[in-house]
Amino acid sequence: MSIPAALRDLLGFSQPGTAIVRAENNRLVVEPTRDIMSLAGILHDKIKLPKGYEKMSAQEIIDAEKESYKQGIIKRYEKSLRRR
Amino acid sequence: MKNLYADANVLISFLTKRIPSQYLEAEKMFVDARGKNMKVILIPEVILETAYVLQSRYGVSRQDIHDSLTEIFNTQVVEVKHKDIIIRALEILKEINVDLSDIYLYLTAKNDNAEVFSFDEDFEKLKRRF
Repeated sequence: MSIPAALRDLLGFSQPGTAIVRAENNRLVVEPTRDIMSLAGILHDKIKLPKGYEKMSAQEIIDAEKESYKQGIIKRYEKSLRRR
Repeated sequence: MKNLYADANVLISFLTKRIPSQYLEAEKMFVDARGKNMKVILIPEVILETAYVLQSRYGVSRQDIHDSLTEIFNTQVVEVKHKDIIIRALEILKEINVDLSDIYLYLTAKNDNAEVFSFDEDFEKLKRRF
């Protein structure tokens, strides 16, 4: 797909490459693909580790994440009961 | 070569490096998949869990969840099931503090020209705005 030079400059598409094309609100959206490795650890500096994290094993960390997700599901259900 | 269905903890490891050894394995999985032309497939349930854990357990902002996951979805190695709805759900998540699973349910129904029947008033909020 050819994109006019002015649009390429505006959007910073400097080289030929691949793109993801999708429909959104009756428009065609074209987004350049990212290399997966450019996203490695992208949230590393944005996370706050919970208390006691350093003492947990890898499996305990995963179990705690699963437990927080389960608690979230329970909270969501309880919220719907409270409101009516 | 078979494609891989990634679990939420793999995606979280890759994005956050919260367990260095698992981060390295997740990184290798993506590199291998890319090299072998395989797909790493993400299903909505895994994406919902990932977003919830990032937000509630690790305090990641809704904006950062949107940005990082949308970027992951725009890589060639990743295939997302129900991608259009998930991407739209993440856009709405940025704007409104409602569970991603509620947004996903709302959009799935809307996409099917149907409505959600629920006792949770968050769906009224969604209906008014989106």
